[in-house]
Amino acid sequence: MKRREFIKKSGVIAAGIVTAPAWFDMTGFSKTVSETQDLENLFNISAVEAEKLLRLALSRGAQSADLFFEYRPNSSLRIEDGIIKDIQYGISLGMGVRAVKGDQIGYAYTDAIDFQSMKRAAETAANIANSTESFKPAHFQKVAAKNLYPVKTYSIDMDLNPKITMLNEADATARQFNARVSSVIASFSEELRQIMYFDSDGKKFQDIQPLMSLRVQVIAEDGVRRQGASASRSARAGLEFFEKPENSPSAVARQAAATAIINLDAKPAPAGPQVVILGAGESGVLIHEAVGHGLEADYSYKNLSNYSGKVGQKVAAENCTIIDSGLFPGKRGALNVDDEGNLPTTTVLIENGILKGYMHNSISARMMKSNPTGNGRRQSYAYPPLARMTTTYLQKGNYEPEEIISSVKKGVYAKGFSGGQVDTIKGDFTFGVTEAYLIEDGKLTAPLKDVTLIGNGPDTMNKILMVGNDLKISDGTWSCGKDGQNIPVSVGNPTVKISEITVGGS
Amino acid sequence: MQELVKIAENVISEARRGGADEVDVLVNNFTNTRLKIRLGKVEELRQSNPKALGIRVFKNKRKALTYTSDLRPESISKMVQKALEIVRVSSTDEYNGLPEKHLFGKVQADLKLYDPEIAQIPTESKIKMATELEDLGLKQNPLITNSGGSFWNDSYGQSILVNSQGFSGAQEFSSCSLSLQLVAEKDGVKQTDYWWSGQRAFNRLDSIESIAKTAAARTIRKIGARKPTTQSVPVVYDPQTGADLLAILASVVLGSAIYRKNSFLVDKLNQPIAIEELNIIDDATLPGGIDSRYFDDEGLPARRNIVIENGVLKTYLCDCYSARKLQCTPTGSARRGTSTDPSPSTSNFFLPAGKYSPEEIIGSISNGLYLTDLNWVGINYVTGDYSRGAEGIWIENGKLAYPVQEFTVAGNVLEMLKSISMIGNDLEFRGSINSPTFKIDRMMVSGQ
Repeated sequence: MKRREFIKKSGVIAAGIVTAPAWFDMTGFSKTVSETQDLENLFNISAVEAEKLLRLALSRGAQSADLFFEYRPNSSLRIEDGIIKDIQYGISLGMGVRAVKGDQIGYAYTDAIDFQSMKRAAETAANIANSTESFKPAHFQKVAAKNLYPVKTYSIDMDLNPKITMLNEADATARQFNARVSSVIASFSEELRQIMYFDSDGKKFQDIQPLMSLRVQVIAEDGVRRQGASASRSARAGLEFFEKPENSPSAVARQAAATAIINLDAKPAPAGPQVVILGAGESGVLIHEAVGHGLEADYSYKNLSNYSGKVGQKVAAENCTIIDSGLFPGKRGALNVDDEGNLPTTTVLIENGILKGYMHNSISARMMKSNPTGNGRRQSYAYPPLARMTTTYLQKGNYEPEEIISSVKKGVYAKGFSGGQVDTIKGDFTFGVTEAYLIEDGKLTAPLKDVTLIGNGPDTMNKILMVGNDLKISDGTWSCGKDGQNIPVSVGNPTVKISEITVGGS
Repeated sequence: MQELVKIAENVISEARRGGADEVDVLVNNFTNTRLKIRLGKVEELRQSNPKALGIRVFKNKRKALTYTSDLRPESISKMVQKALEIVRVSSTDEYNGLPEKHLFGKVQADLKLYDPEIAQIPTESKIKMATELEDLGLKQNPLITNSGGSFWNDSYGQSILVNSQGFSGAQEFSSCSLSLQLVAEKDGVKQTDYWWSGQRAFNRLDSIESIAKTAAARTIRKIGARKPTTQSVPVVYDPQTGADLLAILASVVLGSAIYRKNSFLVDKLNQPIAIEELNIIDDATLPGGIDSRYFDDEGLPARRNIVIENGVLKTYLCDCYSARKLQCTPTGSARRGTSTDPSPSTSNFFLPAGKYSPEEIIGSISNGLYLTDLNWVGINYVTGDYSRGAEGIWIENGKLAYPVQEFTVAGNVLEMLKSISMIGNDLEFRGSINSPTFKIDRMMVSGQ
């Protein structure tokens, strides 16, 4: 399990985003949850016991402490070669205790939620501090939150047949799309993350966070060449999300198949600096990497970001206003409440090119004497919360997308993306393009092979010449990795013209 | 450990009583510590003892998997019932099933995968080591202005596999690592790099001093980086970027990638795919190896597989499912977690050392690139097309001349394998995929 962790590079330096394989943990059991049900019974924890545990976590001089409970059923199905090949169902259950002194964190977790195990975790976490003073937890008061992801019926423990029907539909559509489609894998996964939280400031909340994903991968071949492509949709919603025409299994399958067929004819991309137009939606990866990670306040206050100390300075072109918001209903990046009891907000990160603020968790807000912005998130009960993104995007501008494309004599139009990576310290970022076209005399012409774009955050953001009026938030299965923790996020962008970015052609 | 074997055996009996044809159970039980020191303070101390159990059930050649981190008997029992319930809606697949009985086995030699000392190291000593490491790193050069943190990680515990065909095995693993990330600044430009050492045994870790010095040297050498001009040049892969190229091979040589056609090695078995001097080995029996094991996650003995021999692709790496599907022999390569089905994976995967010193390889180039870092996006596994964000040092007249950043290197992996021309003598086993330095005759560098 943890054996491989230290060979990874990413946890140490890089922060990145990937399109996740459609695999999640799901659960079920016979326990049916409802939004109004009190999760205290699920976790077998009373306010009195929670207070006892918090006292223990504070017993060696920590200034604050919190308890995070999580019950998370996951279910996934996969069709391959036209048959339902894998069916999985599982539960992850546990609780984590955090004790905080300044920006020092003691963290321990347990998969067993009996009082003795939880007590041990609280005592272990307490060891981050070492003094005789001890703070007392305040009385609990429930955090009142809106529900951004109402679902009529949670499907996780329901009959698998509707989900199998979806996969069959995706499989059949992709195969019928074109005779050159030679292999199709479609997968569906869902989870229902049920969390409960208590902290020594007296905050208490619970939330039920549904997440479902559909992904289709297609291989196409014509006897000489072979190419692959994938498409996905994901949301905090019920199965009805896939009833919308643009999210239907057929639509996702057609998108994957069409891209694979187009890419059979792909030509090598040009090398060197080029004019690049980013298509609306998935290209929000640029905003996520070039700007987003560097504005996560835990990097900023430690001076580990190239945006550290630059509030009020010009860091992007004047036509750029960049926002992170956890409030988009039903998006992967939506949160009713973050993982440390703060309500999500709409945070203006950059306004008309000027750096305005950062995304905070509780600790970074305290260290920078700012307010939490509802960006404290953790992968699961096994991890302490970090400052993370939710839905991050560039606000729409004035140009019609066609107008932007026709303004370019020679360049690259990038439409589909696999993910990206950034070194927040110097600000260099890359992102991978999986669907791109040459622009010649204002028109899209030849499809281009997979290519990487590379740039430096503020440098590239200052080269944005035109911003389209077609902002789109991508519903792809975006998963963001930082410090070994992966969380679901959303990205968004309108059509954007960049005067120059290095294209990694061959 | 006996208690966990007992739990697994009970699951098998219960599932068999419930009508399963075949069952296997994997239980993992590890104790982990993660410690982060930054600027002399403990920033994070995380301790845990995760346990989890995964159940695979086969019935009429249908398959289902359930798992839980909740090991109370009633919770496990519910997962057994859930597996029996959902197996009915999966499809019949003739290739499903546990391994044939004659395939089971375990390596008998002591592979030195568990060091009892790691469990005995007091937290204070871990704090002291990581603090010392950071302190030494920060002192290496006045241009080093900040630390991204000094980390201690350790993990030890057991993995238990029991199945209804009579296989029962437990293996113990341990590992520990120290790593340090530093930041240097000159003329308002910041640079960062890191170094680490990770081993199965505590006494095999590199010294704190050598980790600190390497982390500092790797950070300092980036100062003054330029963006190179766009051109086609010879490229030297250092051991880290070399391992990155091997990691691509490690993904596409798997039986699962082959039958899904998600690999540029489809239809390439027994064909020359690389220069004649190139050999690639996957050895799960390497003593002390980070990815060594006694048996794989289906109960087959760990083994040493020659993947590429004299440039010819000799085998795909297969678990039982992909082997049946491709009509070849399983290679003891099955890996899984408690929440995932087995699929093939490499173990200690490496390119054996060649005869050239790194200096000789660099010295053979009048104008070219020494590659030190690659970003992970930009690989098409179906076609082998390769376009990666990179960092490195420019080579002029056979010498490392100045650092370069913000550029890409591009090519096609199949063509790259045929244009490797010098293999270095500097192979070290640092991670699970390891490479010496080597040269590729020509690649496209895209910069200014």
